[in-house]
Amino acid sequence: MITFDHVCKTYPGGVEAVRDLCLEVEPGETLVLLGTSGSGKTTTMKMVNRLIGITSGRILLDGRDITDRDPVALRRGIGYAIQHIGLFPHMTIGENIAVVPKLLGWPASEIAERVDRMLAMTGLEPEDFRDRFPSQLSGGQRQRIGVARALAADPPIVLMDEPFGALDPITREQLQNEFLELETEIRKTILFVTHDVFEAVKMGDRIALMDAGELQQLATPKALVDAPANAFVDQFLGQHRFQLSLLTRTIRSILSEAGRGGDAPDQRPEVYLSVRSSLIDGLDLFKRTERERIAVYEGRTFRGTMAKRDLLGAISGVLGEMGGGG
Amino acid sequence: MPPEMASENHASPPSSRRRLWRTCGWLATVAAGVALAAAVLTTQPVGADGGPPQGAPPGATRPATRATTQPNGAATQPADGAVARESVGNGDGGISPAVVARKLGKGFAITLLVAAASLTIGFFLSVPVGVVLNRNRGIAYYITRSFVDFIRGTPVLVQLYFVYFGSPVIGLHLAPITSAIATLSINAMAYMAEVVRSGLMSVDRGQMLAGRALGLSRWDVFRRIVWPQAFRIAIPPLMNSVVALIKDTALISIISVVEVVHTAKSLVSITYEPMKYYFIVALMFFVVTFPLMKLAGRLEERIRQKGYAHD
Ligand SMILES: Nc1ncnc2c1ncn2[C@@H]1O[C@H](COP(=O)(O)OP(=O)(O)OP(=O)(O)O)[C@@H](O)[C@H]1O
Ligand SMILES: [Mg+2]
Repeated sequence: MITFDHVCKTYPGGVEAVRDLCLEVEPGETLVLLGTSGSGKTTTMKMVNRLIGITSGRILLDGRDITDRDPVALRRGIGYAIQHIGLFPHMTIGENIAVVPKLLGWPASEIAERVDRMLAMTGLEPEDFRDRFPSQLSGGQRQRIGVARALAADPPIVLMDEPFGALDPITREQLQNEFLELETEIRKTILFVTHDVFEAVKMGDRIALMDAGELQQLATPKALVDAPANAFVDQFLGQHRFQLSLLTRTIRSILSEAGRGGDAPDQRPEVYLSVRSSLIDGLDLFKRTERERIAVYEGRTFRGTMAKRDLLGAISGVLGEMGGGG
Repeated sequence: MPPEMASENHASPPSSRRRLWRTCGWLATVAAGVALAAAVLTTQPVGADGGPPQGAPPGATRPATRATTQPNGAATQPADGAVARESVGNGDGGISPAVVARKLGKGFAITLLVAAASLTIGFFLSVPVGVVLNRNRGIAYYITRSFVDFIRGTPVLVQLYFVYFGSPVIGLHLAPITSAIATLSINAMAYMAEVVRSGLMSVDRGQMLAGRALGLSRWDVFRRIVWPQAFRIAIPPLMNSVVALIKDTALISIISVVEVVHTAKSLVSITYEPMKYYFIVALMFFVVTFPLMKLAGRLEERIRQKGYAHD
């Protein structure tokens, strides 16, 4: 658990990058720091592993003040995928990933195994990539290595600073999905920085929206979209409100109104909807398969049947809500 | 030289092997050329019509007769000065190729010894000095900066005189060779520190940040992240410094270190064949510097191909 307790950061020269930040990142949670450029997101991250000092206030890790800890030891327990990747160009991909395990004195065989696992996890063929140099990779592949390196030593806490920034939308989405999948597997406490509101909604259990060094709202994606705390949040979401509303509503939330129950097939069919899918994902699936009804599952358990008509009804309901509210 | 290079050989085996062969070819060509030139120059029977170059006095024109039979030739010359005349024969001016080879060889060994010592000391000093220079602030920086600038801005010749003749004033009686190594070490340090500094400067600051973020100590960040990259960038210009210093070593003859130029001077004073001996000396230097220059070019090309661009 990471606790920010009235944290302020003023850079020499007078820039107040972070002002009176109070925040708790729960164990196992992914908290997204969202905000415009220069709002103090990177600064907040760097304070957590003491790359920069805190001007006033405290940061606690599992209740322990970080200033009581040796910075080097502290950092080894925190994975950090820095903004702009920062792979080491003179080391192979394998060596890059192995940096922290090596520092921690893991046996060589275990390190080699770990490197291959991290590569496979991030969707890169170990045989092919292990011995390449960063300059021989594409930007997207490098970003994956940056993430793999941060996770290599299996740290309980991970800081990710725009790990998928500067990527085309397709690659970005692919990486996001890979990471989400990976994340449900490894379940870490993650502080994730982005300035992309869609990414925030997709990745975050909760979102902390910052502006000019101040926390504007701390909420789940749905609460943020449904109930902006102030004018800034409202403006930040801007014209994406409708799309975001559909993104933050799950199939589960509308299943109660529509066809819950129904006759359960013995086996999960090829075409099905997850209860965790968003309304947009649902709409997309109906469009692609041209079906009228699709079974809904939670994992391998049958939860009901969704009718296209009901989904469209729910979507227009959201639209109506927004028209009424705005 | 750089241990890190070895691990990369597998990265592009065909082209690097080809380049290796090409370098070997060059080296073989140069060696053959030098051997040929040396043979021609040293065994030339100075006589009849050809005559020696540059109107040497008659004594020098006579063929070398019995010089080879000198039993206790140059091997045991005292370090203090000229090649003793009695060792070269009966005043007829002819010196056997074997004696010439031995004398010049010994002189050149001293040259290389001084150069190697100075380069080694200079290089090890240049790393911390380069680090301080790269800091760009603080009192240590200003002191180091001024010192390095002063060394680079003054003639090596004057520095040699200053150290050799100046050291007794403060009670240090340095031997010529010690003065030479001390002066050249400091010189090498100054030039190499500048190279090291620019190498360090060219390493992206994000690299340091990335290293620290991963939990490397400051020392580990320097040793494993910053230095290997800076060093790689610095190798070609460092090679140039090495070449420059090897050539500067010729200057130490003026404080009477019996190195190759000094030896050649003595031989010339006996034989009056400056062209021959100084050409041989020039070739000796070239045999050493040429491969280094080639190597520098090769490494530079290789580093550029590797494209150590920062991401
Ligand atoms: N080392 C520094 N010295 C002085 N000011 C700084 C320093 N680093 C950042 N700042 C300032 O602090 C503010 C917050 O910077 P920060 O890097 O935290 O922004 P950010 O939210 O990460 O932005 P981005 O999305 O562009 O990465 C900015 O106004 C920036 O100019
Ligand atoms: Mg940032």
